[in-house]
Amino acid sequence: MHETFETVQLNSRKVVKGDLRVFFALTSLFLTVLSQNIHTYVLSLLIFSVLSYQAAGKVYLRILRIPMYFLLPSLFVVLIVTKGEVMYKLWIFEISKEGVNLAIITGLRAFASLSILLYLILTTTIPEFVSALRKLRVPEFIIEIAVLIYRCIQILLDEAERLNNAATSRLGYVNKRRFVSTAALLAYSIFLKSLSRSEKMERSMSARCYSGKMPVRSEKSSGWAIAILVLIAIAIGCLI
Amino acid sequence: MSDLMLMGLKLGGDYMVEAMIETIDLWYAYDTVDILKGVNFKAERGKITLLLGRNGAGKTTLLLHLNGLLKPIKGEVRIDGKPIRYDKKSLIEVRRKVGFVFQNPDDQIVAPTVWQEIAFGLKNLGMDDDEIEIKVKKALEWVGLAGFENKLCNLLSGGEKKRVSIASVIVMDPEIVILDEPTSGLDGFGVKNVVEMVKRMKEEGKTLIISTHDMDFAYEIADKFVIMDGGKIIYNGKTIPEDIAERCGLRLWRCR
Ligand SMILES: Nc1ncnc2c1ncn2[C@@H]1O[C@H](COP(=O)(O)OP(=O)(O)OP(=O)(O)O)[C@@H](O)[C@H]1O
Ligand SMILES: [Mg+2]
Repeated sequence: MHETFETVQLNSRKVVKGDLRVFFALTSLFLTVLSQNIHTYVLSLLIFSVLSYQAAGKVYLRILRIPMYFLLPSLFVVLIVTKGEVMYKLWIFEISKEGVNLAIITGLRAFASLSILLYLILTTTIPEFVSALRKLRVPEFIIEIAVLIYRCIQILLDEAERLNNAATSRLGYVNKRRFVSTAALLAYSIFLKSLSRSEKMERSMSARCYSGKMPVRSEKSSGWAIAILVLIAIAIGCLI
Repeated sequence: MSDLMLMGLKLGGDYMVEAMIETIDLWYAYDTVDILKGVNFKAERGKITLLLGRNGAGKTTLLLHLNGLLKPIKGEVRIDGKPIRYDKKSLIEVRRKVGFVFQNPDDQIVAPTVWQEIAFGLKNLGMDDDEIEIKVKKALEWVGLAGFENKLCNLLSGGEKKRVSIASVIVMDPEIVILDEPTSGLDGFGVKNVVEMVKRMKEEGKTLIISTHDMDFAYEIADKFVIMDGGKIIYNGKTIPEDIAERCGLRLWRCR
């Protein structure tokens, strides 16, 4: 099945809705990162894993796997380079008590932050995110640029997919040599296409009196109870 | 050529009716190639004018002049008898009056979500958010896409995109609506839907200018046909003479 972030975001089940979700996730992230307390990490990791799994199901686990590939090796490095009282000796590596501690703390902190970020990513489309930014009084022009860039990325991907299909269906990638030359051709065509598309987009904008304003819509926030409960729990975790 | 034109004028008959939008001896060239060579086009208030002609005849180019997206090399465009001027303020006035639905909805959609796309024009006209909310909802119902507010435009089907692009123009309530090949790429239901929307716009008193290659569609809605060829208007009237149709590559097989 063809699944993109966009479709996942649109189809995810949301318990916390509207701009509140963005603020909720960002505040939790802030508290978790700042906290020095291991309870907070465990708590955030648990809560947001449940929330994310509830929202997007298996997609959450699938995406969580990707950062693991570089997180786990770095944790291993942390484990062996930290000096201190030696516990095990593994070939030339010495593993110390401090090392184990540090690796666990770093790992939990990283996964807790990740689960919060993934929760935000899996449930919130860019336009929703931008609408929350507007509530924070981010200047109008930044919002305008963000919306336009997002639309341009959509257009670019659209064109890329079309060209890619056109190339694949005519055996553009049969062997390595064809692969290279097809890829080069594709890059060049995308460049030209994006130029002409941008011209058309400008034309379309001026046909509707463009004056530098982009509409942004805020959905009504709901799910306050859950959001507040979770935030209180994390805040308490910070304090213990 | 000239006797054809005369015939057209005679057949047209209603030459004296007040024009809503017209072009006087319009010339335009991309680079050095002349595309429009003295076009005298005319569309009447409250009527549906069909613009026909072979691929590359210059239909889109002409239509782009009608709301000031292209500036002619020579000649002028008049709306309600007044020539349009090309300073920023006058252009905004013109575009408020003349809405343009592009041939390809992908070229027209400028915002990521359906709601944003339809609200785009209103926001630029300086409307406040409550009013925008109401109007967008109405426009979506008008084109039969109620409940699509939060969908992303790039995930819609071709027909849905078309309806979004029509809604995004209709919502600004222009007096004149230009549709550039509104039925291309649509199935039978889609075409029927466009026919119905066009008729409703006419009922609401709008002036419509439509370019198309779809003759069934054209006969269904037209008040008047205007045929372009070789950068000029060669015919103007209520029916299409067979010889002209043949010469300009109009797809008329069903009507013979
Ligand atoms: N941006 C451009 N730059 C250069 N030439 C162009 C450009 N746009 C159109 N042309 C040329 O102008 C001519 C008229 O194009 P136009 O798009 O007006 O035709 P059309 O009647 O709308 O055709 P179709 O029925 O295929 O849509 C064509 O020969 C085309 O090659
Ligand atoms: Mg055209």
